[in-house]
Amino acid sequence: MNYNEIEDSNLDGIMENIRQHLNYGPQATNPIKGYSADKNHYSPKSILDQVDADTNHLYIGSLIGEYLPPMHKQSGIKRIFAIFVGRIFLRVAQIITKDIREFNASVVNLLNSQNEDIRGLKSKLKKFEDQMNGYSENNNANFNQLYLQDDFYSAFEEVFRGTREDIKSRVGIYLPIIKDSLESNDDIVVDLGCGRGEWLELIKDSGYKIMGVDLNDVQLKKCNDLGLSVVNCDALQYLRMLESNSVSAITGFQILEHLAFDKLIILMEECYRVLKINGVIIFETPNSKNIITGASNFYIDPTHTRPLHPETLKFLAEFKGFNNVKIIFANESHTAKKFVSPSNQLENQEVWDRNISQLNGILYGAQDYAIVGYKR
Amino acid sequence: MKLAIITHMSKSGEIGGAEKFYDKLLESLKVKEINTSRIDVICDESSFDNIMNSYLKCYDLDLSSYDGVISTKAPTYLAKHHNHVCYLMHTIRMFYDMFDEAKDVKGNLNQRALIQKIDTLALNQHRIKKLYTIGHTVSERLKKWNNIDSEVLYPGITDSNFYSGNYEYIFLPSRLHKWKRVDLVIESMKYVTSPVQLKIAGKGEDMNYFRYLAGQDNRIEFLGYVDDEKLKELYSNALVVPFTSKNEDYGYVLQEAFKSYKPVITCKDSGEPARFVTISNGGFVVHPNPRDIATCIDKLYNDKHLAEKMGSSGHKSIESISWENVSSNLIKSLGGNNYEK
Repeated sequence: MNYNEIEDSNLDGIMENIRQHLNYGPQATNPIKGYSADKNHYSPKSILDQVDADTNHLYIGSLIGEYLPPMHKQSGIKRIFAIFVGRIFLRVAQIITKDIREFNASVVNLLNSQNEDIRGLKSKLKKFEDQMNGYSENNNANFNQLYLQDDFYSAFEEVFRGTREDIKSRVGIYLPIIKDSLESNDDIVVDLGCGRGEWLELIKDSGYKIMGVDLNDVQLKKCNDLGLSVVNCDALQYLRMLESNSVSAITGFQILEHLAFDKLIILMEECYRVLKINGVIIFETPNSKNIITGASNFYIDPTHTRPLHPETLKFLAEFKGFNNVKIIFANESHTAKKFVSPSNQLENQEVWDRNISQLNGILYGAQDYAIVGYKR
Repeated sequence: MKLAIITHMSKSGEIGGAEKFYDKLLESLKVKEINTSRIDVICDESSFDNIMNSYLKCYDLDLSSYDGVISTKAPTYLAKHHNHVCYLMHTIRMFYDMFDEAKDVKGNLNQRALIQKIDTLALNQHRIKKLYTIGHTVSERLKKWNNIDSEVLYPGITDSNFYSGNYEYIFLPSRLHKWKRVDLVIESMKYVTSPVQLKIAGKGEDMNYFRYLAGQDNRIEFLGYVDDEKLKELYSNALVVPFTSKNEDYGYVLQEAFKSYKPVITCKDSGEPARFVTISNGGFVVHPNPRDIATCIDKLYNDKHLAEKMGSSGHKSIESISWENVSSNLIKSLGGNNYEK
């Protein structure tokens, strides 16, 4: 729409011009529809009340023709005559309008009962909404579901997650995605479940800014000592504190598998809300398509809940509104652990034997295991 | 005798400072037993067409059943009434001083010209009997852009019962937005040598950025949203309240700090707060840079007596500001005592 042509120098002229630009007829908004000077508040809440009032009017209208008017103004012979004529007229009119009166009455009844229904549904809905709000607000992601001691999990990760340098080179593959998504120098990446802060360090060394969120005090202290910005906070709670459309990138490495699925859904929703347009999420989690990972290694960590299939996660992300969702398969097993190709090998039989025993170990190895320990 | 206050209600239903302002204004008139109605006009500022639509809505209001009308924020002053007083909070600032900083309308000079023209015509003294503003910054802006004279009428604070306790920490209540320059205070903590805490209350889109800036400085604490009771408590034990945002129209934070007997650190370009602090000597007015702010903080930390003294003179300077005074002036301008009862 072009407002350039509005050149009038008197207010009424300008306002009429604007009205035409917006395609309003002169009466359409004068006075504003639904606005009544008697009411303190002009608000859409009163629509149901308005309907009530209208149906009441209809009901009164439908009673016309039911009874004889009192005819107080007449007296004496005149009145007796008027009542007589009135009765005859009413009877005739009643016979003629019988169908239409019945129809009117049923419409009014129907409107009344529907209005009641809507009122009931609205209050029910309100109750549910309140419940839902209360539910989601008190619910944190609860990463440490088992309420493990911080030092246990910290030590545990030292053994099983891999060395610092190792992790840094593994997560390095995601750096280009971050580079592309940041618009300005003031953009801060949010890393949920930052742990020992390898990713934080990598981003910082690359000249960007990142904020780590975790609940593990031991690991947070390590990050602090390295001069990284971190906060002790539940991931969902932190996201909830952030304004909509305010962050360019949210990351989380090896955290989704710690969440109950309903929390995961809320996490995705919150990420979507908090991200700016063109912002990006990166979440890395064990690949359940790899049998060893999905069926075995996944359970090394007692705080894991369930393996997530890549397609499930992709679907969830797309369902919650994310675009151009892709899966990046990362961190392949070490070559020494893989089956050896039998071709071009001199000791062919030996290679076959090795492969078969490896395969047997995975598929038909020991079915149970026991743990034994001594006090020394 | 009936009065109407016309208020601007944002379409998203957001409740902010303006909402409290309306409530208090209404209350102050009702206390005087004046039959006052509040007419909320739902305004949508998401596009220029919607803004124009809001202007038209106000222009079309049928107010014939009222004897007097008080308009507040843009575009409520478009309302037509023979007995119309405007108590202006502000015009739509993204077409005025914030034009260069608001992304969405950037560069559309025609739209800006139209809005300014309508505002100038609508606020004309032939239409409006008396034009009050909430502060000198707003009045100066009106003079500069619309060449309209107005009178300043300070609103009272929205909440009462502020009190004073100890002088312990720096308290910074603010919406966490870059425009509010919270980063200035966070940065200043790098230069503050005293072991003084900085407590930041509030939410906002740049929370992540500010948390990042604060980093590992464990003297800095983010409290998020706090309710009114907690807010008063936080004020009561504060050493100083920094209020460093740029071009504030009024600034309740300063009023609340002074009511709690606390000194305020503000910047030369902060608008109304700087004026208040200068006049009252209730704190420091500094250049907007972290080092200067840090110097003031250290000074107050080492001399709590000074903090107390400054807070007290701040408190004294705003004693006369009240909603009672506001409603009296408004009623007088609307034709005086006819409205009592």
